Amino acid sequence: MQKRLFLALALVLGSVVLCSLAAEAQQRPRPPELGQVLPPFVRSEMKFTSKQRQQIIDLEKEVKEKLLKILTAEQRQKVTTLLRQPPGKMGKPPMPPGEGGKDKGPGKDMGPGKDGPGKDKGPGGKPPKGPPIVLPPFVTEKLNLTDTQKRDIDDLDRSTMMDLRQILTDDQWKQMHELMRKGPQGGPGGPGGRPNPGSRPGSRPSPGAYKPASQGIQWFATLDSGLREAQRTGKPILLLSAAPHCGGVPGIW
Amino acid sequence: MDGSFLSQQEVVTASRSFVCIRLLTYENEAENRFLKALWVGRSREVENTTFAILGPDGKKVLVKPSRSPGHTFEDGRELAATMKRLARSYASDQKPGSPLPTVASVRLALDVAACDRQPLIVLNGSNPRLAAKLETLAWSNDFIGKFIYSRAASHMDLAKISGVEKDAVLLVIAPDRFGQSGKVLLQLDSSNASTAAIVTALNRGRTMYVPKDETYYDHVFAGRQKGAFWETAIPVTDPMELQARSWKK
Repeated sequence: MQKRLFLALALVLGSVVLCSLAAEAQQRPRPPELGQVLPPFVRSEMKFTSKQRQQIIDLEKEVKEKLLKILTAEQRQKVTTLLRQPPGKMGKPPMPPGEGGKDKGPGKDMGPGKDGPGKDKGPGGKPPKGPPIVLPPFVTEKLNLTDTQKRDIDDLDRSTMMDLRQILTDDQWKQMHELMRKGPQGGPGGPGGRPNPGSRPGSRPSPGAYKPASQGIQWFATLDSGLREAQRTGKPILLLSAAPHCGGVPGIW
Repeated sequence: MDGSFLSQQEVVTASRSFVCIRLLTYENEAENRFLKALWVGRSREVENTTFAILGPDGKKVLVKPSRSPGHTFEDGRELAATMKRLARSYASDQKPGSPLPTVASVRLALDVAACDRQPLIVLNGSNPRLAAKLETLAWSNDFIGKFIYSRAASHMDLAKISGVEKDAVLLVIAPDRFGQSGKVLLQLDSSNASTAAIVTALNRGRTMYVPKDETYYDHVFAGRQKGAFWETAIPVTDPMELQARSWKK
């Protein structure tokens, strides 16, 4: 009898312990995974329709596949480790949007007497793309990415952001930005996910509004007129070529 | 295009010692050939953006061509310092007589004005005296770099602009969000096109034109929803741009 009572008590206690462990695990969100475009602390706050949930799942699967192709095996391993680090071990805080780990040398002017075409170096000269979304800066900083990889990840960031914009409503889009700006509970590196992308402690994030490229510079818009003027005045030429559309959409460089 | 460098004040100041040429990629065959000879990216074709600093002959390379200033320089300060140093070897005095820096067509000019978030000034018809007055003002300290200019050869050029009056010779136009149409803010006819009137029109136009403040993503998303699509004069060759345009297929 006593034995049975003891067994029953042990069973009850065991159940209580298991339940509380499960509850604790539920409260402690899973660490982010490769390909996840919405950090857990954002996802948990937002309400999605079932269609949106599926679209996000499909998008993340696509992002993961592309990242796996871009990164080496060693880098992939490192990413997994970094994303699973507990809070407080995130390393350097992420940079605000628009700032990146550009490691360029001094300006490469040719000087008199030298000429010749140059080669592509690093990411393309595209419009500001906002905070990184496919891999947080604290991860990319540690991967020793090549220029090609950086460009590919930048491009993947842009296209993913566009795809996400298509999935979310206007209100959800604003909510997402607001949640990312605030960061997970407890601030950057707090429980539940990545540090607040695109900000560092104590700084205000960039609003991300598009600003025109060249207010103040007076441009000649054709080669003929500009060359004639340069020959007339003897001034050197600052030359730029850009498409007044992006992804086919006009009204933006 | 790397706007952050070119909108910095020290770069703008340094640009006054240069002739600044901004070509519109994929809009002109001859310009495309020039760009291809100057620099190509990994695709071995002309890409969306190109940047270089050249001598006055347009041939001597002073700064190796690349995709953008951000590829070559760490920041705007370094670009400005390099520009100042290079300019010392060349004439830098302001010579009067610079022509009006017009965009090749009103259609293109509307798009450029929308991209730059600047009002568009269109000269309607042939009026050399008016053009001369506008040229002087365009290069003055008050107005340099603040407008986009174009000429309308016929009324067909103004088909996408609303509010044009029959006798208007100078139009101050607000481009729409996607640069596909425009609205007249102010216009002058030949009876009131004095220099003072033009100055007033330019100043008022800048105040009246209030572009939409939006992020890059909002703009592109809204554009796709609206079906706003730019057809280039010659085929696009930048691989990433080609991929990004596939939504229209």
